Amino acid sequence: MVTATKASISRAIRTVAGPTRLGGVATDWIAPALVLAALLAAPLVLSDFRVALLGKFLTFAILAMSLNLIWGYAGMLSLGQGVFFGLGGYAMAMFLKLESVQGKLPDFMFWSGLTELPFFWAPFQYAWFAIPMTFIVPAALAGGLGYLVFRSRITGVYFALITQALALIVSILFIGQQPYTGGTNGITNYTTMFGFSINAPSTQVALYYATLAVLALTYLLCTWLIASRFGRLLVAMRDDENRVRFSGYNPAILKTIVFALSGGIAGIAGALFTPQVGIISPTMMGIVPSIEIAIWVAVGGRGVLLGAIVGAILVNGAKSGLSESFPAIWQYFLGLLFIGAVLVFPAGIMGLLRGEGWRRPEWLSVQQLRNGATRFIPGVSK
Amino acid sequence: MIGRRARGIFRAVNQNGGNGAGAKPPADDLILSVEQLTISFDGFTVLNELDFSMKYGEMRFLIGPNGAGKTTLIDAITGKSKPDRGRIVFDGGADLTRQQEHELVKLGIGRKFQTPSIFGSLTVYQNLEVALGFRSRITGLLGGTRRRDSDRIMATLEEVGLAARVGDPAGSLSHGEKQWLEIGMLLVQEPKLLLMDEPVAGMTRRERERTGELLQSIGSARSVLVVEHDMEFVRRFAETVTVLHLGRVLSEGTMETVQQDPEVVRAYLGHGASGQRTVAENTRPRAVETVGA
Repeated sequence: MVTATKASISRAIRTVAGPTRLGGVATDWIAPALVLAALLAAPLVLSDFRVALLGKFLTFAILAMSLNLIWGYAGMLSLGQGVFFGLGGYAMAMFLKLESVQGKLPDFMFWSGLTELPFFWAPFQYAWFAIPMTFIVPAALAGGLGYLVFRSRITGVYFALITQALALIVSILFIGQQPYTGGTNGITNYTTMFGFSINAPSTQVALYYATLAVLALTYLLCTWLIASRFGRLLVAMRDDENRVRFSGYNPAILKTIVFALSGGIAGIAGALFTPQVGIISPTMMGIVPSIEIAIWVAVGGRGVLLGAIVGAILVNGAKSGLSESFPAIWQYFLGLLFIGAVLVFPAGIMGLLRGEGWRRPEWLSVQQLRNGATRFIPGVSK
Repeated sequence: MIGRRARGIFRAVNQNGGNGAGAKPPADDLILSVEQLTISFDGFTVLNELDFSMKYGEMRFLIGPNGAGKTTLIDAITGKSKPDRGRIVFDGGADLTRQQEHELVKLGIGRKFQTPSIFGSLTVYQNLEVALGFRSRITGLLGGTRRRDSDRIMATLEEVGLAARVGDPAGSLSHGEKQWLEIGMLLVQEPKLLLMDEPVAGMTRRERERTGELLQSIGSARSVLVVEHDMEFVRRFAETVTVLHLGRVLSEGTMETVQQDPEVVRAYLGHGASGQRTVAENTRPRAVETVGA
């Protein structure tokens, strides 16, 4: 009898290769391929302005994927993801600024009374230093903070609050240190990147494709990670962290690793943002942008890699469309979208596509509404 | 006269698991030795200079009224609670009271929680896969599961009776099946000592029976400590029982011995203050029942 069931068992193992309840070839491979094809073709049909806009959205898509990795899979809601994005953006801005000033002192330093380049700025004139730093600096901050927080077994809403405080602290710090960071204005006025005029349409298209390539690589990296046993551990920590601990793993180490990786990915997204938009400033690192990132992921679909990409592009597309058409009230639409994502389609757009988003007709009951906000957000439910 | 009284006292000390300082048995045949363990929360002493030990291969049941310190003892052995004083020696090693939970698991101490503690959105197979990878390095976790491990997972699932549900999400299992899955997650790690906190709580009669048989087959290969409230279950499956009361060992021996111990009867009666049905009444063997050898 045991041998008779062997075949069916091994078949079962193969069919459940996916990390979570969410399976399906269509959403795992066909949909990403379609999205990739559309994004590859976009510069051929869109105006320069729209391509630049879409390029910016793609950096947001990478950023959203970094949050989806820790929130959607490992259940940690970081409301400070904008900080890591900003740090990557600043590292790239320092490189671009130093290339633009051609050995002179950057303008905002001169205005603030500095007479020579601060020591920690100097290495950023080299691309071989600056580009790795766009990953290393945010990853180190996320890893360091994460280790302290996770070692103290701070989880759920307290983790979210600490990361939100981080967003506030870092943005205030950057505003206050004007001689070194450019203060409120941030760092802007770049002229060239690797010798190419940064505003030339060809440079912008090249940057667009570079961003798309990084997005695709990040997607593949995350797919591989999620499918590995490490990825299953992430989901396991979301389900029951205590059982992971009593299974012989140190959750603090696992969470620190994935949080640092997530911070690093967010930093790369920031590094791609800066040259395309032409400015990085503390407003990108504050509390509001960090919460918006969570909205992109929730709308797109937590725990589905493609969801973060779709969410980031659609929400930002809607945002720029709505803010052009309804400049006074467009933020209400955004709010409605988030409420909808929490209550009506908790699995996000990807969940709707998979036909599992509307399966909760009971959400209208009072009890559900009362539980709603926390029930569908695993990172906050404990 | 005096001699008899002295013998009586001496016997009481022995029954208390050697509460006296010099009564420590030789350590080489003990898998677990808890010595003078004291734990208090906010000034309330939960474990009071507790001495407790288990031999290799032994299956022990731990009973006692509410607040006796049963779960706290398990917490201390698994590193969840840090004692104020005392030592816990496991498998002839060093004192383990300063080690973290996951380190103790690596030493070979597995723990099953009272409520099923599993990973609901992973499949049954993946639950065991996660449990099995606990000795891998992080880099090793990035690869897939080897064939040998896969066979071991399937063998364990056969053992706990969940082979037919291998591909189902663990969240869709029944309460009893979740308990078995958690036991399977422990078994696949091949612990030397298995601690189970009320493994049959909330189970149907048939599930209890199956769990009891599972415990017996597990117990033949390793040391098991079971905390249980269900006296019928204890009578049916226990060989040796330790009764805890107010953070100390009150009595130890076969179920029949401890039930006749007047100290035990008093402890249980003392808790059921107003003449309600007490646990002591539950512990009294019923005439119709046959106690397994």
